[in-house]
Amino acid sequence: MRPLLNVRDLRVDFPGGREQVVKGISFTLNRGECLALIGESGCGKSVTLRTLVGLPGTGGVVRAEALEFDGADTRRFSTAQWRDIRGGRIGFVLQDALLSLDPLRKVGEEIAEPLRLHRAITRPEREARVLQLLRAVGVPEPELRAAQYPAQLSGGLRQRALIASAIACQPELLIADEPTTALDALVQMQVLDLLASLRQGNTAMLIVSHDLAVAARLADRVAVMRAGEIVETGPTQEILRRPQHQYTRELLAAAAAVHAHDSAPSVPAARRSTPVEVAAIGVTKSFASPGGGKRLALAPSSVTLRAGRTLGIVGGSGSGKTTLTRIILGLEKADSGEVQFQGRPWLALSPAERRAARRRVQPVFQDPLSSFDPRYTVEAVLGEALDVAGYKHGPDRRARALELLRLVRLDGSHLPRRPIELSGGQRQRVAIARALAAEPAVLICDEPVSALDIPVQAQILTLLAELKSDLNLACLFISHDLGVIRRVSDDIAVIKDGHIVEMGEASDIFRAPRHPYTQTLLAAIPDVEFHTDAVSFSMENNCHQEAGHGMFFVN
Amino acid sequence: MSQTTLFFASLTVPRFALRNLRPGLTLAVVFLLLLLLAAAFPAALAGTDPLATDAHNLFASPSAAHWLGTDEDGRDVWSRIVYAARPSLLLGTSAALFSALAGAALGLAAGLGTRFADNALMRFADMLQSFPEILLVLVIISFWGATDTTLVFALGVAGVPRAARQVRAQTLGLRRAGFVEAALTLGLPLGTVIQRHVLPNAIKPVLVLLPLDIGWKIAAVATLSFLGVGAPPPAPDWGSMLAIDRDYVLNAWWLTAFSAGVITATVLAVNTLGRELIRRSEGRA
Repeated sequence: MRPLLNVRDLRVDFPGGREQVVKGISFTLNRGECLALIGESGCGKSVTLRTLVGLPGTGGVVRAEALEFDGADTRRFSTAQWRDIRGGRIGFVLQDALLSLDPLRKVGEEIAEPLRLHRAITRPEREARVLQLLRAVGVPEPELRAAQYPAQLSGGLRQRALIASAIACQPELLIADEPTTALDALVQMQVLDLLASLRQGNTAMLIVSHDLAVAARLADRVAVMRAGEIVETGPTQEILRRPQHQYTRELLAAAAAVHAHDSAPSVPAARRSTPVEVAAIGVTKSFASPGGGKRLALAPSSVTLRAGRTLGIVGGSGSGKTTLTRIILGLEKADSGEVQFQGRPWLALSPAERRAARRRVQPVFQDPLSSFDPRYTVEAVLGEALDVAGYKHGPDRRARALELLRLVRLDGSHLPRRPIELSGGQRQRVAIARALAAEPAVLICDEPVSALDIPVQAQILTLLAELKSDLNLACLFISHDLGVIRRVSDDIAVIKDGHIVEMGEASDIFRAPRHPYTQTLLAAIPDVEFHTDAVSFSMENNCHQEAGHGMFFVN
Repeated sequence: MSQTTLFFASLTVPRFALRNLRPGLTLAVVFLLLLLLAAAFPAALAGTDPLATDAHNLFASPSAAHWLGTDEDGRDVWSRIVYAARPSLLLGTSAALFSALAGAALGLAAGLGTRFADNALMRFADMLQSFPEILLVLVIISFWGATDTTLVFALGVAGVPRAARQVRAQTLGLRRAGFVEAALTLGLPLGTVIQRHVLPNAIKPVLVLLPLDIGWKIAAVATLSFLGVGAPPPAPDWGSMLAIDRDYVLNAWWLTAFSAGVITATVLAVNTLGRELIRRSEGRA
């Protein structure tokens, strides 16, 4: 059988800019087959995908021995031919559904677009097909949703709408670039199920992800990419169980480290009742909703953060977890309830006292880059926090800056650089160093690793865990990734639609979740289990399963 | 990039610049340098007094003695054009700066203030913008008379709404920017955070567009003089020269050609430079 996609020795260069982004990769994809391209950011995955649809990017020079779609050399395609293929024979799902959907067009129109371009059907037929598609991708109330704008849809619904648009013309090839990365665990699982169900047809699928769990769930074969080359390729189970290349092993080990949950609790039982650093007592918050009226973001909620312990907060997007952290950080004012810092309510402090105490509660945000003034070097970023902590002048200040960089495993050579010149992991380290420079008692981490590659996630999580125990910090940790939460948390609060539905010790909650929502959430964890010596991989879909002997995942 | 490579990168800059020499940009820079020289030391470029009349030498065509000829009063056109550079540049630049600074202040207040303050300020800006700019300027000048101060004020006010809108839009985004919130959680006073993080980032687009605005304002100054509400005669001024010279365009073409030419060239040069600044600020070297 002729492969649908035949790529041999593909090279993409950007002369004068990034040279050799893709350095000679080869793969084939048959009809009905699913191939996952796995690798860290910057390894050339996305450029490869874009090249496959004839859009390598400005200045990109494409060379290949073969670059064929359904037997035809794609390099000979005219612009008009490409227009026929894109959206018609090849569907594309991008990572960020909000950016990929035109904010000024209704969802229904957006999904109808490929039908309008590629299928000669009447308007009523098109509208019927749109509703049918929305139903197929599991969007409830399709008539309502089709008439709404992307901004009115949640992240999960937007991603579904995007998938609906990509499969509208029943493409022969569906390309998905990090289709679930931006979604929380529950929605992630639903979208993966949806993609898996699409495979029952004759559609070939090419998935790009940095997440091995996604690949394990969907792909027949995996190709591991690093620095523009495919270092290893083979059937998914083969790769996961018997990785040959060192880099694949590292990736698997990192994924296992991020999701490790069979390690002993990081805090001994005797230290459970350490001093309370921050307590939020019955805080509530509502926001004005665009259509008038109020939307409850947070029902009366109470949490306590204790020295040397981490409270993990779990919940879907829009559940109110970020609102809670913003109230604790003093960036948002609670409608009612109060936040106490070391036993004293914030509001009882004078403005000057409050400012002085504020540095004792420090944030680490999801996107480190946006948390630095673009005009500042690392030195200036740290300097601002050092000023506040009283290191105003002289050699002291520099010595302290260097000490902080050492704490986060960076060094003095990073001081004169701007954050934009650093990698994602380095940026997050600088953000952590800045938080530490203020000498905090409490660290508030809002999705601190979500934007990072898996191996880097593992490093940052380890660093945060060490700092927590070395400096006896109280931590609040938000993540949509339950694997991450399980790894870092001593206590867990589960939050849904602004209500804390369950709270308790992490081990208890993971062993015996009481609330039905917690049970659903835990069931949604795609879990990668990995032992460095005897490589084993399992797909655990059941929270009641004892850790350590999950059932093997069979396709 | 380590410091050493930064150092070597800086060494290679001139060669790089030579290779990418763009004739339009070079011409603009050379012209602007000449203009600055004319504004600073007019006597160095033009030996003749711009006000000296010569009844025996009216409408002389360009020659070695009078490079650009003489006008209806026998005054040297080259020297009048050179001497007019200073007021044109000064007025244009001050008016543009006035717009940028006043606009930044208003925009910042609107972006950071309460919803009421925001609405009040922006409706005021709407009101100003609902007049054609040049009409607004004429109204202000007819109220207070045409002095340099009122000219700068009038032209400046006309540009305030645009700058205010730009700064406000930036400020709204910056208000919830990560680095602003990070600074707040450090316990820095609000004033410090605004001054240190919000203002410098919010005013950037206005500063980038400043040269374009200067060009527009120089043209506006010339327009006003042309309409007879600018600098009073006999002071040399590009706009008023053009206004008088157009009466003689049939028998002394050079008068109109040179005064119009210098206005056009100035605006073109300033805009070319301004566009280059925009390109660079967008990261396209």
